[in-house]
Amino acid sequence: MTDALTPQAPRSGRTRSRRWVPTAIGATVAVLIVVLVWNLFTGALFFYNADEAIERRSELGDDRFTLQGTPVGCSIVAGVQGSDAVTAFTVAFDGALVDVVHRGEPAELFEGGTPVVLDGQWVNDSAGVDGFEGLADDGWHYASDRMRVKHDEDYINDDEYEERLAEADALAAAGDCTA
Amino acid sequence: MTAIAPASNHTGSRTTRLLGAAVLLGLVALILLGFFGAPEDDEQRDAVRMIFIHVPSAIFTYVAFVTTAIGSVMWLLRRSIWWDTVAGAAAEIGLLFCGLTLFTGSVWGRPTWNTYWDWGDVRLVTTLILFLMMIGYLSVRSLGGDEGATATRAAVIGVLAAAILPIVNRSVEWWENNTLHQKSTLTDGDLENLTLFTLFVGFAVWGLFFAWSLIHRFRITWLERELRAIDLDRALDERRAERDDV
Amino acid sequence: MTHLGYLLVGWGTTLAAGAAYAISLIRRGRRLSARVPADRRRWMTADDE
Repeated sequence: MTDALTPQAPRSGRTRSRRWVPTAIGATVAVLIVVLVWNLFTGALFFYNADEAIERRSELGDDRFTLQGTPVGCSIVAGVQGSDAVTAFTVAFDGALVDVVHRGEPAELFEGGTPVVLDGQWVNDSAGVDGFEGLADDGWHYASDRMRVKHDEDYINDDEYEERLAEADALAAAGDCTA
Repeated sequence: MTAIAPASNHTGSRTTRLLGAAVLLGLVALILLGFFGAPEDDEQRDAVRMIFIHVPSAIFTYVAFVTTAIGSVMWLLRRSIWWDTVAGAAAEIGLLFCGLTLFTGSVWGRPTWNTYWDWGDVRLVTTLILFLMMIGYLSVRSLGGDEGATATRAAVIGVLAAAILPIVNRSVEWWENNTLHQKSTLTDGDLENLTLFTLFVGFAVWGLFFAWSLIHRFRITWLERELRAIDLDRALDERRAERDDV
Repeated sequence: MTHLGYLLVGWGTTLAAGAAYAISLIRRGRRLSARVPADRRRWMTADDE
């Protein structure tokens, strides 16, 4: 006779399936974490600021890379390059200037003074957009096809903000723009 | 005095009712301030109003996962069931907050960053890893079997998850060329007074909701343990009765 | 108000998720409390009940 208090019944199928589900979830989660960490180390979003991008121009060649800079408000021009509608502007970072020609819709918050993060590549040619006087004007421009905005951590409601924007627009319209 | 109250079937108490009422009142104040009181931002316009739900969710994700880590350490050091229960309860609530942080951040990101998500963004991806780690933590807790071994396995994951919290939080400083995310609103930001006040109302509401949920979730786990103990006692009694009959 | 659609989705989902979680806690608590004797529910013995 077996001891009545000795556990004897094998685990039911239902209990086994209950253990199987969290185990599968845990394993999936572990795999996903490895993939995400690998992605961070290998294909992470990494941008060069405008000054670094100029410094590494020969090294970058015609490779695609990500560029960060702050658009100079009065330089922004909507125009045409070839048959494409583009937005041309100059970005600044730490005193360095890069002329940019962006194909496609600019970001909703795109405006002078708010940093942008762009995907694209160097082109060894001037921008060639009517009405755009690139402030860099160094025979190069950055051809971009993806724009994101990197806004700052300030959340301010300044009465003079609209006035400043209007002032930059007026300068751009008059073709009077200095960095 | 420890007089037993009438056996009402719920996990509420006077404290949780007060907390619950405060959450509801606070939410009304937060909605009014968030939508009609706080000013719009110069650049983001009204999209800035996402800050009042996104930042409290993020901060209380940290609070919840730190609570889980403390509970986990206390389990590992002292085998304290009370702390293990706190750890599990906080993890579940933290997972909700972390999910909301990712979701509201993504929805906020579309009109402001011009993208919902970027797989290479270090702040976004480390937050997602934290979210996945806590799913793993809760999966391990639900494995069943030996309670002590399960609690120990979960506690190790709870401590590991807390170890990546500083990486998540500081990522915008350490890898500022790898993220679209702005720096810390609270330590580096410049906010309008009413925006800051509304944000603190958000912290208060999230804090009260965290406390309310933690107490209820703790009691639920407590009841689950009691039920297992009752079932075991009953099974043992039945076996003893069978043996006595033989 | 600008960006109202994004605000409604963000706030709406947050409030709905919080409410759903709160309701699930209350329901789980009620279901389990009904199966556990009152003297084994420690918070039922506190002064503030």
